Amino acid sequence: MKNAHFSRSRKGFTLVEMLIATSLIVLLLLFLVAMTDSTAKTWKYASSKTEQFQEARIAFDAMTRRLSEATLNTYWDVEYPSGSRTPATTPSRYIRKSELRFISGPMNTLVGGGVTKYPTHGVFFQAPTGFVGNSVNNGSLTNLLNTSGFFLEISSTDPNLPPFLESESGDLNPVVPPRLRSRLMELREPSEKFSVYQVTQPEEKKDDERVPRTTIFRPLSGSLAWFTTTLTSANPPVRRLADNVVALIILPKLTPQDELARVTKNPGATPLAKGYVYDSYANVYDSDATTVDPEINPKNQLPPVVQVTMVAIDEVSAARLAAISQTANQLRENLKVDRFFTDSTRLADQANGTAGDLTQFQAELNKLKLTHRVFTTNVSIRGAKWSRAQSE
Amino acid sequence: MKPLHSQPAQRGIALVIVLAFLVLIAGLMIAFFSNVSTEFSSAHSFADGVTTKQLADSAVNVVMGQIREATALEGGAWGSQPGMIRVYGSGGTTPGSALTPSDKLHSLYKLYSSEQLLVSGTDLTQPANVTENFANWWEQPAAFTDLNQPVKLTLQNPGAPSRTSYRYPIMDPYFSKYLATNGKNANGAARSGSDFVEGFDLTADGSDDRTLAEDEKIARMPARWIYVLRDGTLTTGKAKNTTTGKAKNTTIEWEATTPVSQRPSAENPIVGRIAYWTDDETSKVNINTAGGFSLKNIPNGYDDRSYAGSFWDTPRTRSKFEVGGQRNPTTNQWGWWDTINGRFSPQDGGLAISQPLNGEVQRYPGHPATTSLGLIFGSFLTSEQIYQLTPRILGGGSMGGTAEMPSRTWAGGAGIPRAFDKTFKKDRLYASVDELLFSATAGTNQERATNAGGLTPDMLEKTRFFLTAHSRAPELNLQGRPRLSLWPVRWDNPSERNSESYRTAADKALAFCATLGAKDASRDWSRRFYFQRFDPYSTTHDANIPRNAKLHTYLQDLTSTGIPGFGTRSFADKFGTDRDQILTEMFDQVRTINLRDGTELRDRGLPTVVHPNPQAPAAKIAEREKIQFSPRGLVVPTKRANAVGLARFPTISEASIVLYHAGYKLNNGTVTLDYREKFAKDATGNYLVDVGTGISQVSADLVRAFLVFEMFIPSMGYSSITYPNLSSPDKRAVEIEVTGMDGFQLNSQPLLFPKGSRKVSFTGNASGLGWRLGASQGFQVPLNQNPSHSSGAPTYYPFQSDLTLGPGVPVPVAAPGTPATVALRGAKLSVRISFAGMDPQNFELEFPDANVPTPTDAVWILGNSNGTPQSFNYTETSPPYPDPGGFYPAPKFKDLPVPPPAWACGTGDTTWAVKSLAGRLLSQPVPPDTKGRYGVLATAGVGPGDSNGDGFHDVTQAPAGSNFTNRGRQMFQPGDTVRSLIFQNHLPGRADGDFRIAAITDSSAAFRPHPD
Repeated sequence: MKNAHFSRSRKGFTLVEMLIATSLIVLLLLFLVAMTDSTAKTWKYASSKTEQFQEARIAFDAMTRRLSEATLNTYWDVEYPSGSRTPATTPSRYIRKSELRFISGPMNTLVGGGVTKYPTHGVFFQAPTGFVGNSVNNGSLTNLLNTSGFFLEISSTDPNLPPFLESESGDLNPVVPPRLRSRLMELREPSEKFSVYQVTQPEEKKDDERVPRTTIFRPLSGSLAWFTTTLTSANPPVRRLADNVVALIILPKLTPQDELARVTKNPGATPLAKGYVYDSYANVYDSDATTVDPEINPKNQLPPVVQVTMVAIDEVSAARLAAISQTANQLRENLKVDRFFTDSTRLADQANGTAGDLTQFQAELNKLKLTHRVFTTNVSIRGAKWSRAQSE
Repeated sequence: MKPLHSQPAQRGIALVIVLAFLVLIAGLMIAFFSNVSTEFSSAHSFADGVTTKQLADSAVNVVMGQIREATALEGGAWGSQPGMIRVYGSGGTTPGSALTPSDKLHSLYKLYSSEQLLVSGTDLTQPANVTENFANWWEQPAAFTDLNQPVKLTLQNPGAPSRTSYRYPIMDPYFSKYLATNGKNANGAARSGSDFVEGFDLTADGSDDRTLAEDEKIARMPARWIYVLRDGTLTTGKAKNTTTGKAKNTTIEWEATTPVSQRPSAENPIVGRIAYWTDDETSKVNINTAGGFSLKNIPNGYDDRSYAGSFWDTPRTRSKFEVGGQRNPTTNQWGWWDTINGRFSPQDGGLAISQPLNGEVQRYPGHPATTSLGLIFGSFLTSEQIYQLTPRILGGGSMGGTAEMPSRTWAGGAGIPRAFDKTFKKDRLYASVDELLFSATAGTNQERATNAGGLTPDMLEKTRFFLTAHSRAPELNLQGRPRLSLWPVRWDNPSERNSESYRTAADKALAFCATLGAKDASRDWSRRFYFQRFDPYSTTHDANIPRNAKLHTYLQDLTSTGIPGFGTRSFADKFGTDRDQILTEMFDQVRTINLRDGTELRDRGLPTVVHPNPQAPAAKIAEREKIQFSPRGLVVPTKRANAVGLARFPTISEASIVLYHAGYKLNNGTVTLDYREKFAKDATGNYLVDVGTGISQVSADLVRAFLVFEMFIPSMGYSSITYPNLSSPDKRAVEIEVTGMDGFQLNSQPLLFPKGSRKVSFTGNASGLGWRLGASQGFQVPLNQNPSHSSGAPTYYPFQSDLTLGPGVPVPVAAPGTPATVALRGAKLSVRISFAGMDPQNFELEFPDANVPTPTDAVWILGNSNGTPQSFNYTETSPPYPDPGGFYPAPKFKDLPVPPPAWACGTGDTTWAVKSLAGRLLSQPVPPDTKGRYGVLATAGVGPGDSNGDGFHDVTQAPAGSNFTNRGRQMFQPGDTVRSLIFQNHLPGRADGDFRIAAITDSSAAFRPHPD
């Protein structure tokens, strides 16, 4: 019996045992599930971050490569005093000329008109990239000129959506819900519509075309129409390069050697693009000087080096940012991006320990708990042949 | 049994739990790894992109390195071509050492992927190294690739039929396709590639892949794969001869002889391969600068009858090219107006028929090298269509010299009115070749208009290989050092605050082009490679401008070293001491360019008429003279210690003594100088003269003499020469001073020349004589005397017999039938040409003793076109007189028959011959004429005395009875005796001399008696 009793008692678990075992298993399972969930979340977070920044990295690469192909096709030509070129007129001098234009600077300066959807900087130029509208006719001409541009745009609609995913405006149940994002955009004007040759520029007059270093040269209304018309048209030829880019900083510079020589020669002088503005059309002078400094006059010249800096945030951060911002303006204000990037001498951290614009902007992003990454590179423009001579 | 039964149940649960956990963990791991691999592959593809870019960059870097090395070899001469740079020189066997200039090929720097990128030294002697071995290259895909393999593009637009285009990376083998369908040209001859692009053709060498279509193989461009190893080594291998299977010849191997570092290994594997080819844009036609004419204008193709795209120059002869049109069937002369068809043949344009219209200054097709887009587009487009493409060159007008002038009043017709837009084109320049498709103007629908003329993308694809939008090349000499500009620029005068403002736009541009590096406010002279000039009237100032002196030294340096590509001998070796002379002449040549730049005068409000302009304010004239280097067209030669320049300054090329018949000595002892006496012969042959007081016999001829100097200016040029004179503000004048004239004797009696030295100051210009542009000035220039003929006391030409010393040297009349000669005793003249601020040029001219013909009284008379004397009445008192159509030598008056012919007789007198030529070279008592011009040896000059515009003072201007007449033409008469010394630096085999040498030497010995 005793044996039998013992054997029976050995055949099963007591309730207590079962309860203990079950709760242990449940605990273990719970722990595992929690761990898996947490791992998955972490992984998802990490991979989404990588993907995010990978898109940004590819976009950055494409942008800088395209920028390095910028051309002005400059040449030296006679200038006629009266503007008429006849055999009977005497030319007054020789000047460097170009029909093309390279322009970069804060987008509110470039586009003007109180447009708030373009934060920070943009750059617009021509490059022989062969982008055509009618590829059957012209697709084989791969060196046709295009006007290209890079800028940020804050909008709720993704311009790259295929037509079948687009929704009517006011649709309460859109196929793809609107997402307020700051995107890196590329303007590509098809070569057939290439308009810079058609934009009327005034006759070149040395004095008339002088502008301060912080202003874009608008000698005539519409003289920037070669990109503004396309940009603001109903269906602009733009495409999204990357989502969630919150700052694009374009800083044209001299080569390190030239810059060193310039600073050595005149330590107090203003750098090439103090207010980030660079316009290859105008003779530029500084507000504290009355003469055009030939050392840093961008007239019909490409900048030798363009420092491109891009700040990207990840999608999760972007969604959080969008949640607290209803409009483009609010998004800009939340980012406080307008406080920075207006004076290029303040971009980097100062020698005296003052934090530069970029550092301060990153601190603002950290305050908002926005995961971000900064991409920066110096693009040397192959077509730039910087010369101090302006005219003869 | 029971325990056995119960135990498996217990173990099973554990297994289930373990398995469940295993599955869970495995699932997690799979998910994790799948994520990682996705991440990895995307990172990898990004890295691949970077690698590809790096490989492409490495090819570019290799080429840049090759070019840099090839063009920087000191002492080497290099020349570029598509795909290669050739360097000539010898030595330089160790890297970095300089080459010795030589015409020997030193090395080949290949700019395409090849087994051996640099071929030099003994390798050059082995053809295998110089010529690529492309045998059966298409069977070795691991070793070779076709760089010109087309990419098939399927071009599509939504809703439109797609188009297939083959994009050839380097050159479209269009010609062979075209040849296949258009194999004959208009003349029935077989076409070659040259029919489409002049001088270019493609031929299949027959060794190509037979499986390719006919039109594909002709432009294949094999190049070797260069393998890139991980450590960056570039290496080429040999195709491995595998004969089996699909892998035939697709592998590559490295021979054992290849250095280990050049071989791939497990540690240093192959990471990529590159093949490339480098073009030379400078050997292409630049679409921005080339002009264009097309064979399409010319129905029968280009031949010597067609002048499309021709230059224009003043027509001078009646040749086909000069006149144009057709040949007149009757007279066989060109320029025939085809009355049947009512036109000149348009394609037969010539310089006369197809003159440029007003403002048509761009008739050259393209720049002076006449590169023409017509050579490329000639098969597609006409000339006028091509001119629609050119951004800066206008078409129209004379259609490149193929169209008749619009206004043909001279040929009796109205011509074809044609508009010509005189405004230069200022279209944008093309930034790339493909941009040729679009015109500069806006089209419709906010799109660019395509270029007129039917240029299609297809045509551009076919011709892209020959075109470029940028073709800059370095502007260095063979020694790899900067060239010197030929354009002189006004001196950057340190004491002049704004000397640059006196430079014209062209001056500034050319100075800029000849300045290395950046323009510097600190005036870094070492960068400037152009000559400066300031003072045309100084022999030393311009040469001593510091930078000019430096550049002279620079040229001495260049000419003292061997010439890369040609040899070790230098110009100094060849020319010895003449080298500096040549350099100085070059300097003066540059200094003499563009003496009177008039381009900016009007814009600056300065007087544009010829200097001196008394009406203009002095300040304006002064400013004008700062812009114009030498408004008078005169530049004094530069003098250095061992050399003298040519510049633009007169020297002497010939000096003559002229003996002339000046009157008669009568047997009664009196002398008559009046040529209007009546003459006759008596029965015994004695010469009789009726002097009004009775008839006398002539016993002797009176002879006087004068000297003339033919001046010569060694530099021809556009700026006309106006001699500055003593009355101009600067009080400077060219002067010629002669000493020793009194040494001349005739018949042992002095020729009445003044003693000591006498001087003539040049004045005015040689206008009307056609010599104001340089070269020979004739003898008239020294005759234009100072002071100005409008004021001051009369001065007389000093180099002549002085009548105050006597009426002339009597030479007895020779007996009839004996030659009349007289002994002339020569003299040694010191001739000095001087100018303020200039070292004078001195010549010692030694006229030898000689027996010379006695001057006679034979003169020029008027005649008709057959040479028959017509009239003789020059100085008759009743004007007007006919403009003499020509002069004919008359017989000596004394030899006229009895009675004389009617032309020789005075009015109403048929017995006596009357001479009317008078007053030649009288030093007195001829008063100034009514225009203030001193009578003796009056010379040419358009002015108030010239009523008929022939450039000579009129006969009719001579006051009646003043014995003053048209001296410009009649200074030399048939009866004169002239003896000359001419500059003869005898060149081998020649009797004449190079007068330019006279300007740079004082070699008096080269003046020798004239051979005639």
